[in-house]
Amino acid sequence: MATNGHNNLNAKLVLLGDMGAGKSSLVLRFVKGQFLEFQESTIGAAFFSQTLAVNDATVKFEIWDTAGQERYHSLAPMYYRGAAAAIIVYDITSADSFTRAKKWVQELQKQGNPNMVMALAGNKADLEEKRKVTADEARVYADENGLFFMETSAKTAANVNDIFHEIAKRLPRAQPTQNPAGMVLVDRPAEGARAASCSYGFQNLGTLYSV
Amino acid sequence: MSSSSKKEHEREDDSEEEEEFEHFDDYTLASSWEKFISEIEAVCRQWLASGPKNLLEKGAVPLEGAKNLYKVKSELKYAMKNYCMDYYFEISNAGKAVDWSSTLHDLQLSFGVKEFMVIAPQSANGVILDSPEASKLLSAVAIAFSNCSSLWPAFVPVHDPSRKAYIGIQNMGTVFTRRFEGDLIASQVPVKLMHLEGLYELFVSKFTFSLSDLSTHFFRVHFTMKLTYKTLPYDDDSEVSNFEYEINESGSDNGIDKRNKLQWDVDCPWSEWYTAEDPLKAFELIAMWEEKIIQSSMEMAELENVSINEAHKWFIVPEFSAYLMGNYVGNMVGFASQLALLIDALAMSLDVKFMEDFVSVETSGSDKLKLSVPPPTVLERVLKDLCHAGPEIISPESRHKSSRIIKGAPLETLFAQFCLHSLWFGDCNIRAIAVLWIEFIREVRWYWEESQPLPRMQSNGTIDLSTCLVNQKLQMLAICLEKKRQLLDSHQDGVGNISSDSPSVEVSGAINEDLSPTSRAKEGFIKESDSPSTSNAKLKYANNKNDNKRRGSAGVVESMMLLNSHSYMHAPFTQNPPIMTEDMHEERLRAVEVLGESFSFSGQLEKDILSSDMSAFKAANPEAAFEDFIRWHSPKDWEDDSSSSLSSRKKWPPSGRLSERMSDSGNSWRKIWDDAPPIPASEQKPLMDPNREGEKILHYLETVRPHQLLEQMVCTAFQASADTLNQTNFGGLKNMSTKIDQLYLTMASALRPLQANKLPGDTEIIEDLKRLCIVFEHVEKLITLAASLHRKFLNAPRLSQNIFNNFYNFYLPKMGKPSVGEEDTNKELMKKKEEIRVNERDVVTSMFVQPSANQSWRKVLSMGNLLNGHEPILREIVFSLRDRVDSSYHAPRSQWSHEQEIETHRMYICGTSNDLRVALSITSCD
Repeated sequence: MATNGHNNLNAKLVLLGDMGAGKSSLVLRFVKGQFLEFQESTIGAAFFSQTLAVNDATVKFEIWDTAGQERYHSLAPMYYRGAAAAIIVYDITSADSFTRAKKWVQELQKQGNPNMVMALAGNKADLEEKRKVTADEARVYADENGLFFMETSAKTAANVNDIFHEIAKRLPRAQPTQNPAGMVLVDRPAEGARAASCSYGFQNLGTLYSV
Repeated sequence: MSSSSKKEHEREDDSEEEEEFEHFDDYTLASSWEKFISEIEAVCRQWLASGPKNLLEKGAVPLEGAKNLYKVKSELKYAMKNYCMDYYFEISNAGKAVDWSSTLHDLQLSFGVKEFMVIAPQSANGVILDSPEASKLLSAVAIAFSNCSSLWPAFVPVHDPSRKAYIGIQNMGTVFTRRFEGDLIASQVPVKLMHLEGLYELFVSKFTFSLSDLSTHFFRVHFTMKLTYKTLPYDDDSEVSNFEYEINESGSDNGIDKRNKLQWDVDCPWSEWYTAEDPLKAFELIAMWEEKIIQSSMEMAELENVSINEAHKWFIVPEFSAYLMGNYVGNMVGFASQLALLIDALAMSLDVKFMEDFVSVETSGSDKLKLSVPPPTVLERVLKDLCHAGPEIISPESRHKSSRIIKGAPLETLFAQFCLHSLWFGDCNIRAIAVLWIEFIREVRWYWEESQPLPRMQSNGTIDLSTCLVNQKLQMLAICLEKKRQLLDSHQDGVGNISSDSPSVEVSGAINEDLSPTSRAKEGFIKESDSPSTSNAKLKYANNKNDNKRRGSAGVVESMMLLNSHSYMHAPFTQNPPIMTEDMHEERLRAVEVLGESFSFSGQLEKDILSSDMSAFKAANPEAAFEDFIRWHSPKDWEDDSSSSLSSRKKWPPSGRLSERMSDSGNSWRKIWDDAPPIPASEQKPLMDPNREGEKILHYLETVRPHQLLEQMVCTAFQASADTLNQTNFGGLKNMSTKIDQLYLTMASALRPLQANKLPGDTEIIEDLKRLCIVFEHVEKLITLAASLHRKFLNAPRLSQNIFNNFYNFYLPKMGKPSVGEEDTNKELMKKKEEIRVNERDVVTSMFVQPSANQSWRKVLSMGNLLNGHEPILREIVFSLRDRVDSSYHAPRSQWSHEQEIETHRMYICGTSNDLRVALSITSCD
């Protein structure tokens, strides 16, 4: 969950996707600026962190990079639990990986934090000649499901920083603003006089709810 | 009253009077009575000149109850007495003077007028005028009005105010004057006047001189009628209901708080916990007849037996129970009231270390001793209920979509039920909760030690991290218990040879929770579709070769041959990955963060899983190579040369190679493979030790800090209460659904601080929670009403919807505003009528059940117009007689033809079985 300091935000981010889609490569490119042609397959999950400056605030990403093998699927909820953002990665040269990505989106929509910022990354965009998934197809899907979409390439670094930046920008700043219309919590009649004194802590709630 | 010459005279004077009032001693103002008249006249002129719109701007007040009616007032003095003059007017007065269906001022209804004026002496206790005084006052007004040629009817109250008696007069223009008179018989109404026939004759007698005329002469009397019926209160006790009847009739009801013995809500979801008073006490049915012409008293008598279905319009008016009204906030017993008590308990739990501290005698201070705990028998019953009642699993679809946002526990689970029980255990004080919790955990430990499955918990499930920690712990305990039982079973059965148990994936999966084939989701890898015979045959073939060596196989992987030997690949049983509750997961996370973020880091835990999988694979396929494992476990890392059709993959040896990333030297997968011994999952050291984990969970439950427990209880109790109410069937009223949606969102954000464990010492959070209880109470009341309406109008959903919406719109602005609910606004709501369509009439008539003998014996039916044995509680009738009259009496002959029908006589009769009010207006030519 994104937690708020003064101008600092800590945000847990999780990468999900089919095996070999390039999740680890994306993270490594973003965190270390490196790219390995043959990135070793992740066992279980790996952890990274990276801080970004967005406007006048800084966002510290705590990144959980997960393994794509089916075997580790049942562990995924622990990683996306409480995550403020998720990047679902597929490989543009593999239609299977795009199908798998859609399944992840479904699972997050059902199980994940409802305010989670979700990004869809079509990785390996440098392999244009082997493309199996068109950008349009993915964009339409992303629009329908409220994700934002970018084609990335860990190899050429295209759009890698951009996708993390965009996530950082979309992270909810103040927690309460996420709340959709609720109801005004109001004082007990007897406590009318006290309402003023304790209104500070309640300000957020009070002003944001409309009946 | 006044001659026209005098009027003219005064007119002239008037203009002078305004300018030179101080210089002249006008002789018309000689007496104080004349002075009084001129004062009335001045006020009247002012009002006349202003017109309704300006009067409104000058501060005319709208009248409660009557739509579109406003009032201005002025005070006058005469003969040491103060008088008050009120002018009532409408802003847009289109339409007929009397229309039953709109709300009218009493005088408008009685005398068939629109705008009017009332003059009455001011005194603290209302008006007491004797007849001479009243006539004197009225003539003063009449003179003043004719002076300023006002056509307003003017009324003066007479007698005791409870009689609502008035006399009045109206100047109708040049020739006609209308006189008004109204009075009430408060008791012992003559039998004749209880019936329509008698009332008709009463009216006729006002314009005929002898009764003998009646039989010989037919008059065309216009007649309309409005009958009001009321259902018996929803209560099975006739004593109370009769009592209530009388009170209602005398008009001073409200506030009788009686217990509802009928339990109307017995099948509502909340009835498991409490019984709500029916929010609908009764219904009034108003039937209105269209105007018709009556020519004889015979006809009139027949009307008394006519079915109410003949009425032209039907309306229904609900009578709401007093507790729905605003000023009763906090008095209703329901989830909201108990939740508030739970929050008090939370506030008391902040500084205490253990739940036991609330129970033990030494530590409980004097104030804590006052908190009562229900007797052991009750405790026993609650625990039995909690632990021994079968679990009814609620499908996730029937839960509210926003319920998940709240970190609680699903309604049917053990902890949610514990929370609901503790709401109603004693008065939900902290001591009672502590006693219940300690006993509850003792019970849980018993299940653990006896290896009995936990009630209300699914043992095969995973841990739902969106629920509260206690629920996660209980989920995990249930899973540990199941594993513990399996271990015990396999010990008892001797050697548990899993691989020989069954080749079928599904069956073995069910038998052996712990050891399930990993690749269940990988379609096409494990053969499932093959007919059993062929699969068995293949299996035998495979088994024959390596029978003694192969262990822990879950079955052949279809279409996969091993690289180095001509045999099928077997999928092994593998261990389930260890499960973790969120606190365990957080602990791991923290460890990782401390260890730093080297890329080579991979969770130790997942490495264990991989190693365990490899061991199991080696055991199931003794001749397998690392590449075989990769082909099974991470298929994309095997680059197949041939096309992927099944037949070609069955070819041996399979051609292809590892992906570059897997064939790298120093690849950690291969390292782990090299180190993994061939051991079937059943013989491996378990990834998770169920005994150890179970004990850890019990330790947590036994030592949980009181405030941590109470925080989780508050969240879960709110969620479970809302989930319970959400199951109420209210026919999908849209407003109600929206309100419930809002409630969930409001709860989620108000409860969030509790989930963040920020509580100790923060009293503001407690205050916020108290406010949340009030919101909850409002919604709870609305749901109760919606449910009650829904079941009463099952066959007329439109009516329940409209009545609910009316109430909702009335109630909504009050939600939140403290201590609103003056009687006026309540009455306004009470009068809100809802028209009944013809096809809905049956539903409404069926509410008027024939009164039982017990209910009806006291009441002598005296009025007629019965509806299923109920006589009307109110019968209103308007008689009128019209006549064609030349309106231009003094006009030249040319206008003779211009005739106009005017109402010469009008009588309004309003009667119950006890009293009768009659108001008569007669227009006559002066």
